[in-house]
Amino acid sequence: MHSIYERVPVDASAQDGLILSVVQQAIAQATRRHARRAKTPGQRRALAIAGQALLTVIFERTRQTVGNAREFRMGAFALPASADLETVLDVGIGALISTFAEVDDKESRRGLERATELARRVAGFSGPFGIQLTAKARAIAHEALEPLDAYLSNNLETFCLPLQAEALNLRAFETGVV
Amino acid sequence: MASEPELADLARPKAPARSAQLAEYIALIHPADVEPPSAHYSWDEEQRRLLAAATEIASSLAADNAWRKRLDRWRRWAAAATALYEKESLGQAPARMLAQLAELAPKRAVEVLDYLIETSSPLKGRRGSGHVAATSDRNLG
Repeated sequence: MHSIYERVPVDASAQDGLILSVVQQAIAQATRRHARRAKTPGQRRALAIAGQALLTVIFERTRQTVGNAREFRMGAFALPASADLETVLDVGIGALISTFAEVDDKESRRGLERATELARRVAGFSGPFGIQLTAKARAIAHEALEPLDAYLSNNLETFCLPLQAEALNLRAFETGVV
Repeated sequence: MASEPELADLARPKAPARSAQLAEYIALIHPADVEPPSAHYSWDEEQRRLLAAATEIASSLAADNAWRKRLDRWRRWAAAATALYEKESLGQAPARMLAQLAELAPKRAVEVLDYLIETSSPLKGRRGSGHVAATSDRNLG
C-alpha cells in the first residue's frame, strides 16, 4: 500500500486528487472482489494483510532529484478526507474483522497494531515530519474504527491474553493529548 | 462524509472491562504499555502505581495455597507472549513482584524462587538479569 500511494502524484498537476481517488476506488474494489472469492486459509490471510495495508493514512516518500544525483527530497503525506478514504478504511476494517477468527495470532496482532496506528492518527498524533490528518480525515477514520471497536468488545475473550491486551491498547488514546 | 468534527466527537470509546486474568497478565507479563503515557499523572505517580500493582499480586500469591498452579499459569502466559512477539519479552514487573513478595512473605518467596528455578520459568529472569539475586538479597538481609 505504501508503494502504491508513493507512486500517486502529489503537487504535480491539478489532476492529483482525481488520480488518488481512482487509485483508492480501484484498491477498495480489488479487495472486495478478493474478499468474496477468498475461501482457502492462504486467501483469507492475504485478505487480512490487504486489510492491514488499507489502513495506511500517512506515508513517507523519498525521491532523488532529476538534476542532482546526490540530492534527495523527503516528504510525508497524509491522505485527504474524501468519500474514497471512507470507502478504503471501511473495506480495510471489514477485512480485518472478517479474518480475525481465521488467521493466526501473529497476523491478528499485526492487524490490531495497524488499527492502533490509525487510532493514534485519530487522536492527533503526528507522523513523519510532524504531518497530521486533517480534522475531517480524523473524523472519517474515527467512524471507520467503530465496527472494529464493537467487534472487539463483543469478542474480546475469544482472543489470547496478549491480543486482548493489544485490543485494550486500541482504546487507550486520548484525543488532543499530543 | 463527515463534517468538521469537534475534538470530543473523536474520543475513543471506553475500553471493555478486563477480566481478573487479563488484569494480572497485563500487570505482570505483557511486554508493551497498554495505556500510552498520560498527561494525567507524573512519572513518580506511574512508579507508585506499578509498585502497588506488584504488591497486590505478591500478596495474593503469598495467600494462595495453589501458588504452584499460578506460577505454572504465568509461565504459560510468558511463553505465549514470547512466541507472539518473537523475543524474550518480560520486563521488570516479575522482578518487582518477587521483591515485594520477599518483603511480605519471605518464606513463600524462597519456595517460589526454588520452584521457578526447578521449572526453568522465565519469570526468574535470565542469568545476570538480577531478578532472583535481588529477591535473595532481601531474604538474606
